[in-house]
Amino acid sequence: MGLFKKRIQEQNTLFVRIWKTIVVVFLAIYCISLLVPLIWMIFTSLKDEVSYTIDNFGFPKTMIFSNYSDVLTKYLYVEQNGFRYGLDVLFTNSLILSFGFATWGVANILFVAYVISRYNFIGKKFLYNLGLILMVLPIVGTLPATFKMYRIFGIYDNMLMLILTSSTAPFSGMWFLIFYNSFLTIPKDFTEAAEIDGAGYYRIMFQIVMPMIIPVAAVLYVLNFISNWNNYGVCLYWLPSYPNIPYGMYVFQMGATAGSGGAGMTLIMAGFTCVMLPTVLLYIASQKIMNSNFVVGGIKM
Amino acid sequence: MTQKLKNNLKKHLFVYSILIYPLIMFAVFWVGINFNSVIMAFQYYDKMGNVTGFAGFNNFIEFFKNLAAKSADITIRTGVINSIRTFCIGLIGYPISVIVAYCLYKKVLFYKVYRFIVMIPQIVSGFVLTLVFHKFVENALPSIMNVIFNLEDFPNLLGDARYTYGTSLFFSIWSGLAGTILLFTSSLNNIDVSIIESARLDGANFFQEMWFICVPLIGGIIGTGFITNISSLFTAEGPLVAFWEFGAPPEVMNIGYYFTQQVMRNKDNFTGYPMLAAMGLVFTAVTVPLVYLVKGIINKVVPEV
Repeated sequence: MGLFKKRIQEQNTLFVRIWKTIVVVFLAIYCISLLVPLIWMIFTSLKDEVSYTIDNFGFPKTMIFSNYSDVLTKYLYVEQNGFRYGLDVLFTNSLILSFGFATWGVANILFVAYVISRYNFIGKKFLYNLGLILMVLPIVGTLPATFKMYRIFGIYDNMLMLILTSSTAPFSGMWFLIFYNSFLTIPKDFTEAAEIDGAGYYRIMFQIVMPMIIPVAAVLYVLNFISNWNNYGVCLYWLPSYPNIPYGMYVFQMGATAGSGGAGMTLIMAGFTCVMLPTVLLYIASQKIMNSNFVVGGIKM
Repeated sequence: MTQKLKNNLKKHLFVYSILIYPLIMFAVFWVGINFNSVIMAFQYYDKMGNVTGFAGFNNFIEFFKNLAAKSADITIRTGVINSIRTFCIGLIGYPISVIVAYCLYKKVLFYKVYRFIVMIPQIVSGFVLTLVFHKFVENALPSIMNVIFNLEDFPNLLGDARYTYGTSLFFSIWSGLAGTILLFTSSLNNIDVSIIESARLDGANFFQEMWFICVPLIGGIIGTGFITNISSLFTAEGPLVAFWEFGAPPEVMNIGYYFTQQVMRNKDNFTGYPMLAAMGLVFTAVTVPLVYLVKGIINKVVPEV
């Protein structure tokens, strides 16, 4: 019996080893496949057009760093409605859009989650349940109606209006639930003590509770900012007169491909590297926040 | 007025002062837009977007005619088939992600290196990754295949109609896998160590630990992801806009992209919008019961979904 058990154990160990080897090989192939296009992008961005034509995937023999300055100063622009929007305009629009959408979106979710989680009022349960339903309610094909209403309300091609109306259901979604649960974990003693000391509702919210939730909010803010920084769709669909950097890059690579059969590939890749850089830097800079365990109200989450 | 009543009034004033703006936004831009979409499905529009008459069910009839037509508008039919096909094939990502995440959790060889690389698509913008993939497949891949495998006539996988759908599907699974692996790995890392240890003491082996302990404990996350995927069955566009803007070849068409393409191509001509709204209602009517049916089934296994 003991021998039989030992054999089964040995077989299991062998099977686990084979299994792990298969997964490791799969992971290695997958990781290489993720790296290769990005390495190719950086190599290509450092080549000149002639060496790219001769060898379009090898290591650059001489590194041409001027591709980066060339693409930023000469090629990254958008011509729309008779106007030419240069890099300065694209950068400003990118900043305003990322900052605006991230700030407005996070603030809305944060405030709504705060009142729903910490106060009893008429309609509280309804709002919470409605949020849960909306999360899995698959509404298909509202784009025509959205497009029509955005034109009627003057939101189409209006940056400020689009930002102000972007948060349509802040009581729904994963981040609402995260904030909701985070607020619930903050002991009521904190706010009750402030109330006894005469603090008003706004003061309690902004000076007592919100500072405790900053680490969680900062993570959402960084992710939201990065996602909006990379969002070319918002200009493609809704803000044709306010092009941002990703949209400029999108237009540039489309035009370069259509016009010259890939002749501008080194510049396109230099452009991609430049577009990618701010988000990578922001991610690295915010690593401490992103990887930290959130501490809310003295409780480690 | 008593002090208690005053305080209660103040509290309600505070709560509704916070909620008023989000509620107005919800009423106008969620309820209003959806209501408008339903109404639109039963109307005729002129080019400028003015209502020209009551259409009854004609927009729905037109949509079904297009769906059934063999030659008139095959893009809708291809879109439906591709949306369902993409969803079904995309399901293979779940078991792969769970297995890989479990092995990373079990600290396989070089697990730290893999975890870092898998994080790259989350750091690098999705937009850059999509476009670099596009350029790489079109320009570098044929040369690489020629040099390494001596394949001189390696096709342009995103330019040859035989491979475009497969390549865009591959991209969706390939780029999405990293996110689910990371999500499942971090969920596994949150499992209480004592549960794993007691399972080991009871003699659970590598696979039993995975199947009977870890998978059920992260079942909520897996189930939620699955339901979210079903609810986006007819809204997911994939990488088509990034690859081809609004001119994707018909063989890669899906319903999410079809809506975007039709609206963006007809920004100044609203006549086709009512048919699109009718189409949206039909797909919503199909997806809503499906989502709740699947949610009900999953809830029986994993109650926390």
